[in-house]
Amino acid sequence: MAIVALHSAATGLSAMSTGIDVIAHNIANTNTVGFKALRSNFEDLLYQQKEQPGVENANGDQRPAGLFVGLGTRISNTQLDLALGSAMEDAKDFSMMIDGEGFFQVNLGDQNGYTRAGNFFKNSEGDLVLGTTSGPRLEPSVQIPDNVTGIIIQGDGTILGIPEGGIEHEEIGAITLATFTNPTGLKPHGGNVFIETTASGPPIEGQPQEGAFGAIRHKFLESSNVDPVTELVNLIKTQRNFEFNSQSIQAADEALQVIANLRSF
Amino acid sequence: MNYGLYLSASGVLTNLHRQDVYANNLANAQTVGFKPEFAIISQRDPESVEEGLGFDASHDLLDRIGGGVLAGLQSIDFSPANLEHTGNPLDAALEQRNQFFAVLADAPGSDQVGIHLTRDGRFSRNTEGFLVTVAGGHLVLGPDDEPIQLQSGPVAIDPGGQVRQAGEVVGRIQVAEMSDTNAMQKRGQNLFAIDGPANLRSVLENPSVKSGFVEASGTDPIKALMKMIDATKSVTSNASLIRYHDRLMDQAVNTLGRVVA
Repeated sequence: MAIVALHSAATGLSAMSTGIDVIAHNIANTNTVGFKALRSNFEDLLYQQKEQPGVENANGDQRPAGLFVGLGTRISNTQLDLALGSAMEDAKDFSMMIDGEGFFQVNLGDQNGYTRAGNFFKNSEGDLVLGTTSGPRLEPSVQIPDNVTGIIIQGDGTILGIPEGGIEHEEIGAITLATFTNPTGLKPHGGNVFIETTASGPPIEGQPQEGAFGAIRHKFLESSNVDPVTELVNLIKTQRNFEFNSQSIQAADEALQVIANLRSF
Repeated sequence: MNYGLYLSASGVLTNLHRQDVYANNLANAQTVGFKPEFAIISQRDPESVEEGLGFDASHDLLDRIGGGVLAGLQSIDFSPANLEHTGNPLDAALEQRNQFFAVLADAPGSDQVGIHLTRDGRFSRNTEGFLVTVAGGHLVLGPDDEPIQLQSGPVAIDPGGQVRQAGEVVGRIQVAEMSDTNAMQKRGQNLFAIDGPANLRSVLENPSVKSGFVEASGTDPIKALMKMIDATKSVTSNASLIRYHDRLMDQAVNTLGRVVA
């Protein structure tokens, strides 16, 4: 009875508040390089069968439909929106973006991480590392010799530079990308990095510009693909739906209160 | 005696049921492809008619009152809802009424594995590369009821429902039309089961699919909230009548029927 309404509204409240959490995370990351927005996917819950369809009534006719009451909603998953973020110019030597499919691979110690953020740095040992707090190494690692000038990263991922005392560009490393059968199944790991899951499947490695892989654009960074306008509109909608569900609770509660007071003394 | 007490009770019960239905509609106001339900209530026949007792078995006056109110059979509002732009290449929406995507599912709450229909066009790829729904990961079917396998790499859905990769057509998404939507039952996870003969579903030759869009929930929160308030008021008024009947009996027993020594 009205208890079902209370529970349905409660599922609505909890799903909407999770929805607000996801939107808040997206908005907080509007300036994060290589960030991919998350979308909450809602689905309806089970339906309680109160009357079976096809049952004969007193006149011998069959009921055309049954009577089902739904039990609310839930968030089935959060889905990565892998749309390309807009390119922004960044004049640093090791800034790059992938123009198309693919992820940079970084070494997280016990496993590989995958990232769209291309803000790489040279660390004290000369290795290329991702410009995040933990600074994981690029995988396969690239050593940049000291005092190299005129760094150029080509579309196919080849890194060229002029060694100390030299006059011509020489190859000093190459970037390998990875993609997945189902990239939306990747798990956000924090620090701009995703890790593989059984849903994403194993990584498929390749060179930039090869097959479906995008080209490397040197001295550009991929900005966050969060659209603040869409996120804010979704925030308003979700917040209102949260309020509507709280109204359902009030209505059901009011009805239950009336029933509780049915018996007079 | 006190026939009206039972009529009022049926009013309370039925309106509590309406609250349940609208609470579910409101809870799903953000669910893609959700179709709200009508909480239909119908007049209940007097007992003599319901039980087929004939006319001499019951009281003539009471028969004329009727039997109160009853929750009607389930009815789903299949009107097309607003399309929302998402830009996701694997999102698709249907604009026409009574058209659905077909998926292979063992829906929760039932042991049936079979073809289910959905208006929720949020698709994704699973580990083996098959096209699946995001809600529940059910296989999306092509026109010949076969799952659709994709390669890795960019993918696009064209307005005819064809799935393209690198310019090549790698599959087509089935769009089915239902001739009788009354035979559809909700199964959760945005799915509908077909409860009836298989020929109710016909596969469209030239469907129209809008890619990059999803169909929003069909729930109109304002209407649903109004009906919620309406149901609450009906519960209150029916409960007041129950209390009135109670007072009447109180009077009859304790005042009118008082034995004065």
